[in-house]
Amino acid sequence: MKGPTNLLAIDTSTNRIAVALLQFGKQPVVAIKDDGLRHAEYAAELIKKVVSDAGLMMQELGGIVCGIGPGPFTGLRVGIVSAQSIGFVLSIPVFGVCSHDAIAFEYAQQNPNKDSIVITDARRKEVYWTKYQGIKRTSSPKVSKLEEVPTSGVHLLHKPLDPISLAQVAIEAMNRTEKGIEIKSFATDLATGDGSIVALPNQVLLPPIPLYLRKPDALTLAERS
Amino acid sequence: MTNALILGIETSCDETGIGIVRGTELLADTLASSVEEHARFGGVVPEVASRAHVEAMIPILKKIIATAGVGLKQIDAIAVTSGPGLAGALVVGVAAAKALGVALNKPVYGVNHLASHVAVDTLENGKLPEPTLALLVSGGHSSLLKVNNITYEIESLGKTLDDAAGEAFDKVARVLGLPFPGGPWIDKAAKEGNALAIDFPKGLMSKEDLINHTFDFSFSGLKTAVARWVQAWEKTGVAIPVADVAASFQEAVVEVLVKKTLLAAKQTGINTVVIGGGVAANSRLRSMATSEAEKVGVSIRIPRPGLCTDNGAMVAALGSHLFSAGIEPSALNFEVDPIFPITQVKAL
Ligand SMILES: [Zn+2]
Repeated sequence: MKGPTNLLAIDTSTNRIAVALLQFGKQPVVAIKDDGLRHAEYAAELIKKVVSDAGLMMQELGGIVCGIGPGPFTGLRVGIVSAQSIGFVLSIPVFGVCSHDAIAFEYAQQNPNKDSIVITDARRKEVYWTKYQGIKRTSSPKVSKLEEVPTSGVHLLHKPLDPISLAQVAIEAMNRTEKGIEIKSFATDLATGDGSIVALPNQVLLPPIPLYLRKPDALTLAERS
Repeated sequence: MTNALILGIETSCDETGIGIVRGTELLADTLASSVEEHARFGGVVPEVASRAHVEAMIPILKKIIATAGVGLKQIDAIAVTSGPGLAGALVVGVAAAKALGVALNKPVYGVNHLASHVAVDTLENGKLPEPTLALLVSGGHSSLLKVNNITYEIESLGKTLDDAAGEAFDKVARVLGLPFPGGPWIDKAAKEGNALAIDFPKGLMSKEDLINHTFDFSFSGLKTAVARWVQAWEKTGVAIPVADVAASFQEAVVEVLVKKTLLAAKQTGINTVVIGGGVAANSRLRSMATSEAEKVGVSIRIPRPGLCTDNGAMVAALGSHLFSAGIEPSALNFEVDPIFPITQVKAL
């Protein structure tokens, strides 16, 4: 395996605050809390817990991977900002992974060529969804009503995110790249942009920035008049 | 005060601020504001603010470390605004602060934004007498407080029942065709106008209101009165006397703020008042408060404008007071509270 040892994985793109620590030759350590309104309350506590449960000091972390969504924004930002802040203090790399890739991962291990669709809650009676063939994303994440998702003949993946899978997606992406670690940027206008038009690079590491699939809810003065 | 090194993070509204203090000495203060992004919406859009906080956090952190001339590892404690404010915006700062605390193995204090507005004054004007009165006026809050002890005991004497003072400035500016945020533009326009030109209503100043809402504020009626006045004037076809409207509106706001504050000083017998918040940068408020207070022997303390608006130094300042008073840090799972009451200085 290329890439950092002692990899911390954090995802807050769903109602779950999911944290894991992966070490070479040891069982991963996981800490999970299912509380969709309390990401900012518990994320740091869970991070502290996995590191100490693994018998490590924070300074021994080698890298961090965070889920960049799609997911409800307020919670999503917690994991990303936490990852960025810890990465900055420890001067270690921070990578982003599309959170849906982590959900597709386990099924894809057993069914490498089957088509699937990952569906997660987007609130406001809509869902975030992404199409896969095995672990390969065949459409970039989108947001729509559940009825509008093309689900026929496709295996539906509607299950909680496993932070170990998130770390494994990152490790596989590192192994695939020649240089070990390479982060592919994706174009999105973070402040105002509609991220649903973003084509998200596949099977590579992404920058740790939120994948916004909706514009901020507000009308400009010009739009109002 | 000890000479502990405290880092403070503020993200309750549209400013991402980080400050570092040593004791009551301000070492560095950095700010990224998303105010320009909100201008085209005519007000702060919470989601726009939250996105901007994420983008700004690490760049600001890098900058403050560079300018403060200290290493992150030397920090003794971290303070962060845990409320009141916009929920989605608060969450970004709190997540960052907790992560820094865990990575550095340092305590984290979740602190009250309003109390921070009071504490920042000690960076410039020294120790606060106990008790002290505080008038906090901004786009998000308008409060009159009795600060018995900045680290654990603050009482609310009154607050706005509707719009915040700064909000009224924004709305009136919009009616007058002035840009957002309205405060500085109204202030500027008012300098050329006659404050006595139009007699706008002064909220909660009637005899009855002064009994039932002695120290409360209301600016919504004034805002509506200005809008109606402008609408009526527009029918005449004559250009709106923007300067006179701005000056008369500003006078109405400032007069209420100053009168109620000095009434509080008289009733409580407290003769020191700290004024903070974005509206404390208003030149008419500064001059009227100072001159009227002088007449009745009350001393007014106002930090420089950059420390009146939201910033990281104010959070660091309050954190510093808490730390040096030996007050326990917040639990790592402390809550983000958009309506954090002023009776609580620190998150549990
Ligand atoms: Zn404020």
